[in-house]
Amino acid sequence: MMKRIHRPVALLGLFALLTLTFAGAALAANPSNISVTVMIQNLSVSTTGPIDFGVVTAGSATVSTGSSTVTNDGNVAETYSINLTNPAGWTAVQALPGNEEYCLSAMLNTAQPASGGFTYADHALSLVSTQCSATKFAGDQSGVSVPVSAARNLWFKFQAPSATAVTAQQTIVATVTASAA
Amino acid sequence: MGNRRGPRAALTRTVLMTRCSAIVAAMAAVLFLPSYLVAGGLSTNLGEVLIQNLGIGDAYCLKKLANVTLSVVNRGEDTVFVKATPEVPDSVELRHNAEPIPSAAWIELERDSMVLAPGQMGVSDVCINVPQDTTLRGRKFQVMLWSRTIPRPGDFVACGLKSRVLFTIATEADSSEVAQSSGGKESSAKSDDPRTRDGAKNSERRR
Repeated sequence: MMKRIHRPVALLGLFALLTLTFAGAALAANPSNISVTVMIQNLSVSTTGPIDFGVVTAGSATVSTGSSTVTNDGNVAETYSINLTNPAGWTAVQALPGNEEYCLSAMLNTAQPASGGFTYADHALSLVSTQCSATKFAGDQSGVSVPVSAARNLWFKFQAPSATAVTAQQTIVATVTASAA
Repeated sequence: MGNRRGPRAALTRTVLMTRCSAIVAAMAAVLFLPSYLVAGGLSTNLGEVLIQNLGIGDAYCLKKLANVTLSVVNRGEDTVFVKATPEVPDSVELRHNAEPIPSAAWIELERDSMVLAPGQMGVSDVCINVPQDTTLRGRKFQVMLWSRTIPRPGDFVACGLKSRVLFTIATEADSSEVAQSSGGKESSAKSDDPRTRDGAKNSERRR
């Protein structure tokens, strides 16, 4: 009597289990011939600040007196990319700035670079995250294949708008992004 | 009258504005001055990953596929807001003979933003939606997952990480094999080796 009651229940339970199992497999669609290989595991970068340009006159160019230290604290060599974010009211250009325009350039160098060492083609930052190369953002240091634990000094040059109506303090954010070399 | 004054008035206004702007610009403070002297830092466990033999018209999530996730740790001293987005790689970012993913919309992140306290880890699943397009068979694609801190007022330098995700699309023969065998392989894509999760090898071992 007990068996007659329990057998359909057991079958129903088995059917439900199989249904769920196959439904899950169909959704997952993970065939046995797919392979996933994590080739590089620990990517890490750190930066220091601040960078202060102080008061800047219209149409002038200033090289920062201090640098930001960028350190590869991951466990593989890294290549850096750099981009910026515009502050309200100003637009970044990669040329001599006009009204309400500015140019922020970046260079990896041991010591403070001379203003003339920056070029628009190689050092001017844009909104697009641009990868370092042997020349791009390079001074006597480069952001290509930076070894583990190595540090780079990142210097900035700011070229102010030829004219602006902005009176408030402006902050331009530079983002340093690391990827496996 | 008004027409005659218009251009002259506009010119006068322009001259005045230019003069004012120059004066104002001379006074404008361009200060990149955070109120603290801290190091910002991010790290991730996903530098580069390769997924092979995906089928067209299917969706795959790495967590379910191989227990792999995009994990980002805030290594700085302050709480940060981290944004993560899939990006089509630039040509100089391509590796292993991959081509750029045709659209970043193929990639879906479970969490595209997270607030992380110092030392805290944020985790997001990464899903790949392969369109039903036979021309994709046999090709290798790359997408970058860009995780970066969103600066707060006063921040100057932000940090970012680009994780490289490469994947191959199965050829026609592989696809038919996939279709025939796409049942109950969910656990087969897991491995004890944290660096390599090879579904094929594991399923062979079980057999």
